[in-house]
Amino acid sequence: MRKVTSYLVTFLLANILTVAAIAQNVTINGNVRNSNTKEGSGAVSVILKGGETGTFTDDKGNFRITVKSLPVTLLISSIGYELQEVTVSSASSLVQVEFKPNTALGQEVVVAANRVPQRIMESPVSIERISAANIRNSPVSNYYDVVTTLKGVDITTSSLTFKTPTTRGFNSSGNTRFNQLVDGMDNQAPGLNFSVASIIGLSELDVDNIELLSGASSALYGPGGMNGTLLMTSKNPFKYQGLSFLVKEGLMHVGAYRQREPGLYSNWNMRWGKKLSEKFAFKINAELIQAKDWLGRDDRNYSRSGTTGSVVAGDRKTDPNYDGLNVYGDETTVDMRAFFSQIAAGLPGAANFIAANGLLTTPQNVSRTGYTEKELINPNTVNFKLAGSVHYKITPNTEAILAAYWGTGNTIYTGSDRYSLKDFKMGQYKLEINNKNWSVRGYTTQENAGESYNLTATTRLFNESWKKSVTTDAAGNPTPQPTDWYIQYTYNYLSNRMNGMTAYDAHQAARTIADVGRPAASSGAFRAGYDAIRKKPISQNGGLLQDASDLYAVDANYNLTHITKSFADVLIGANYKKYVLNSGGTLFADSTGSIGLKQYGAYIQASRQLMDRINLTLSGRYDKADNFKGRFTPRITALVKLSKDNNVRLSFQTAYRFPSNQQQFINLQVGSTRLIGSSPGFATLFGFPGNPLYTFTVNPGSTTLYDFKTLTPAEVKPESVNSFELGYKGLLMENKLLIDVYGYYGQYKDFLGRKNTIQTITGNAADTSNASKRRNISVVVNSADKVKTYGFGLGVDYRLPLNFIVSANLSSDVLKDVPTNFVAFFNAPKYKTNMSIGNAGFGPGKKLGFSVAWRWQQGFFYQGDFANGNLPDVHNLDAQISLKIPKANKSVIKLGATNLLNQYYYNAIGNSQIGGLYYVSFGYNIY
Amino acid sequence: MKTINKLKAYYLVILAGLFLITSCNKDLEQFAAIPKPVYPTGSGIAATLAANANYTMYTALITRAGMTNLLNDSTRSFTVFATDNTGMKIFVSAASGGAIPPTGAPDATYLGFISGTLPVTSAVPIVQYNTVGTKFPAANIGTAFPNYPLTSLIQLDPVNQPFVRMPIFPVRGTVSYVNNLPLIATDMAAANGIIHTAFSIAAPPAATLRTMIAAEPTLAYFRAAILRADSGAVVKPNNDSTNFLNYLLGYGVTNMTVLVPNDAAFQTLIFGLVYSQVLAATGSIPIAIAQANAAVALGPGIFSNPVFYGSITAATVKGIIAYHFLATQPSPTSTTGVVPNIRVFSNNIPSTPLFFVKTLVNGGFAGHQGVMAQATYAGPVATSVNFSSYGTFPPGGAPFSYTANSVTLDKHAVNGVYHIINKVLLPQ
Repeated sequence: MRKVTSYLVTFLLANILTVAAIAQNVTINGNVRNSNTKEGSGAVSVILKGGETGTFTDDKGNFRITVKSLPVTLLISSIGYELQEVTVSSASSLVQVEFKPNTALGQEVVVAANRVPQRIMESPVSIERISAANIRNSPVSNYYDVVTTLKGVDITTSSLTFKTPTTRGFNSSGNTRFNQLVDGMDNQAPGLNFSVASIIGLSELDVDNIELLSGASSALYGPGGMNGTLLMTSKNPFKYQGLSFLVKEGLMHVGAYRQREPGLYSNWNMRWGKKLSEKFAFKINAELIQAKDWLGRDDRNYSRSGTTGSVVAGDRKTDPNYDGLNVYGDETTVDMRAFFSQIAAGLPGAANFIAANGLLTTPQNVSRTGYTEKELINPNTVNFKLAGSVHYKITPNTEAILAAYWGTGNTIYTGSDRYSLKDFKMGQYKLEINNKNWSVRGYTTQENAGESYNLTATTRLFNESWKKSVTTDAAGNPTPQPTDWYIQYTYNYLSNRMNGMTAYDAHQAARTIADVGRPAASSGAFRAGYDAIRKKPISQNGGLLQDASDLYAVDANYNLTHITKSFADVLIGANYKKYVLNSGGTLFADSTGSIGLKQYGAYIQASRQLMDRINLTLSGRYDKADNFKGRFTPRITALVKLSKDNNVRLSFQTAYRFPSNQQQFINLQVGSTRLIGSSPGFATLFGFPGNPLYTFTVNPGSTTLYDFKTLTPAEVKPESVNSFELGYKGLLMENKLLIDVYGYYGQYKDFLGRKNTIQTITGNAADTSNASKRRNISVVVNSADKVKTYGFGLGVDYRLPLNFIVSANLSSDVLKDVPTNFVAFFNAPKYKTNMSIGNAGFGPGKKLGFSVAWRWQQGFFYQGDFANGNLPDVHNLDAQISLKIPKANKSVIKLGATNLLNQYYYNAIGNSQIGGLYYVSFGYNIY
Repeated sequence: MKTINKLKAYYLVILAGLFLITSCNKDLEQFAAIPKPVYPTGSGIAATLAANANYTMYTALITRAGMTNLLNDSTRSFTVFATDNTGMKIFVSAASGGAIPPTGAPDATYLGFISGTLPVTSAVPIVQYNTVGTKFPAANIGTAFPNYPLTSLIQLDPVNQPFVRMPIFPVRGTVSYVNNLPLIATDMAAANGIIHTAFSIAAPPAATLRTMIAAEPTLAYFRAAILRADSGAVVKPNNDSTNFLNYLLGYGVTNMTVLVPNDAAFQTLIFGLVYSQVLAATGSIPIAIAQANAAVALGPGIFSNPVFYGSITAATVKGIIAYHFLATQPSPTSTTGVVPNIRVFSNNIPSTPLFFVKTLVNGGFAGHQGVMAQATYAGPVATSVNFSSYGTFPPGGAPFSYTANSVTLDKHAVNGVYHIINKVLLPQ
């Protein structure tokens, strides 16, 4: 073993320390410019033909390269341009290269599909790519939104800056089945187990490209990527240099349906990349977004039952038990029959009245008066990102990177409740060494939830602070007092009814009396009281989440192809992760100390060309996590070349995920239900199975309302999916038409979900029927049923004359064989489509650009822990028109709009509703 | 140029299509709203009465009470036990202390009294008491014993327990009644309720049983017996809830019926008891008479005289007094839950024999038959009621052969009704 290690070290050092010993004594100065616009072309690769010497043009298109002697041939290349060979015979004058844009489709190179660069046309699995050029010509206000235009992508919008993409179903505001990697780092917030959109990560001007792997992708990227993996890569300062900035100023909240008074949208970006020498470069970038956020204003009435429920008729006036979706504090509900019974027992007249009016026969639930989201949350959303890196080329082929990404912001997130992520902070810090053949990366993610709080819990507690619902003694037994909200309500309601009022009027009048003393949301008393509770940890009867969880990770990859190329291209890699969960008992069961969780895994991939037409790739990955047995995930892909640029792809992929950190360790009261994790420690904490948990079904028409059955939670297993895919990608009609089509079939096993149970406080089984002696506990379970999904995607891009491109895609995702009453949270429209037309350069001097993009998704029944309900169809139209100013160093003025027609939509029940955003931007040195 | 024009048209068609499609966007899915109440139109109760010449005086009473708008409020529902002008004249005569005759005076005299002389503070509770905040048609007036309490608009504790109301008691016997007053007309419809017409005003009670009994000159023995029954050896203050019977009589939200023997009844019983005991001990009738007279001469103080604590025990007195509190019992075998929660007016007692009512004695002797009651009627009005006890005096008579006659019926208090009778009933 020691011998092997020493060989390996020697080998690595040889790679790192090999210094080019070629004498270089002729320096060529040149410039590359766009043949159409005459702008200098930045980030263009200039390499010496037949050698490894190379450089990139700076932001003005200038380059300098030193060669041994003249003449030489330089290869000038960049995606989107035609490869040019330039022979240089003299170094005495500037080499001017007219760089011709390439109008051919499908020329992009992707890395994510096989972890090695390859043409997108030859990817063996479905993959989508967004380039910096795509972002530049997109009408979206935030680059991350471009992802929504990709084929097969579903998006859940929690707020302006918090959007969660996924593919092939199962989307939600926080998606734990979708990986997001930023410059190779897992971008998830460790305490949440999902990425907080682009709040933490790259800023717009630093995005080099985004690649999306649709569907299962655990075999290469580890557990979690059951439904896809999004990889974002930033611009390397050796390649992208210069100072750039982009200022967008926009207007939101306009039109009659607006949620707030019109407000400004500001998005300021800055990037500065500098190559100080051939060995050393750095970059720094920042982005600030400020706006008045979109608003969750769904005030429809919601009937809750544990973590399930449905939208029902009624409003605050017509339903005394009204529970508005985006109204908080009204989740507190009490059945007045308990009070009516006591009154009836002592007063025959009142007893007759109560009986005659049916006040004891049906539930008489009344909810407390809530506050709307608009009243509660500071409307100002801020997202500030700051990132920087230093790059050092140890050898021409070995680069060390020390990078830091830090972000903070306010946003809204929908989990089992709505959460205000206030002053949320997350930093990612990495040290990475990349060689042509290998890479080693170590990084950490440091999360701080700041003053994030649970809106529902905080508002309910606030209501209790200004007037108790029902006083209880130290043991929790009700000891009603005349000053209690429900006592005042019940007494006055009954009295009002006795005074001849209708139930409707009596409820209004009773609420008015019970609400005497209720602080108005605009008052100082409200703000002081509310802030005091939201700043108090949940564990201390407040609403504050104290999540300061961290992630530490190391990974390494080695491409052995240069050794193994005689029989196959081989790639190996391994990684190690450690989560340190630290919520101070406000989210996890970690009140006595942080929780450490380890995961590690390794993979190998081998690919081989067969008969010139078939490329076969086999991958396999083994992962092990604390508390769970190791898992092996294979992947087999084949690419069949029908003809040049016409390929059929087949794949079988496996993916799985361990239960998320929250599913393992959460200990959180949500409404009347406590969510607990799957960790065995919870059995000790809650005393089961000694004090059993009971599942229950409603017994309509029976004297016993519920039918209880004992449940002993089984050991929770990771869930997994097997996915088969068949696809075709090809260029037709003289390379003017690009078609990409796929179909897939997936089968999910051991699906992770939750089950509502009841446990008695006393341990006495008979008390299951006594609401005051039982509690609701939601436990994590694997579904015994297999859930199947299938779907397809079809995308076409057609290049019209004059540089116009029309694109359209249609995709479908379907869930099949869903058992009755099984809540799968599939959350995908059966059909969705994107259509766009654009031109990155037309008109005089090809300075004009425009794009129009329309997105439609079919309505569907949305299922979430927060709320369920029917989502209507979504139609959205984005558009932009831009003008380049070549003389001002690639400056661009853009006039754009997202949701141009200002048709408010929402894509998850209870989430913010999105309206039109109209902006004008000015970008300097944008390339 | 031609190509460009073609392209323009092509793009315009696409854009127009997109615009049309996006214009179809929908608002939040909505459900059929929970309907708000639809309020009736038409004349309210006050207006309906005002439009009827037979109710000008009750209309004046409503006006005097300042309740016209309330009783016309179309957003509410009421049942009003009104009184026509004939009944109102009887009421005015009584309210004026007889200064105005029950008949014969000009209507203006009665109206003038109601509108000018009758204190508002009297008018308000009268109208409130005769108004119920729900629609209660005559068909709903039940026959169950003793009656069906309805909650009037009078609040007994408006601040702390606004739902605690002074009840009013309709019942159907040979005719329909409210309390002990026959209803002479029913179901006059108004947009916001129903009007029944009582023979006369059902006046709201103003004092508790304890207060009213305390003011009765002929009930001194009963008061003393109550204290003796409660106290054992020590007399407790009125507001001590362990002072059970006395506390009960003063507790405003109970609903009781008490049969109250008058002083003569107690004197007769005391005389007889002492006489029989002394005669048995001495064999001398004169001595027995003398000692019996001496005991009677002690008056009600006999109950608080320690000399007699041994012979007139608190338990004995409590048993006898408890037998005078009518009660309900969940089941014949129940030993708990016997509560004095019925308000039995004279007209609630049938004229037929063998009608038994439970008493508080059933709290200790579940199977006790209670008190047998029988009323005598003149038309719809019960003119007298007889109450027979299980025990007799002298002892040994047939059960329920010992009968007390009513002296005064339907003395109405806030927390109950009492009937004065001429014998002390004996439970065994």
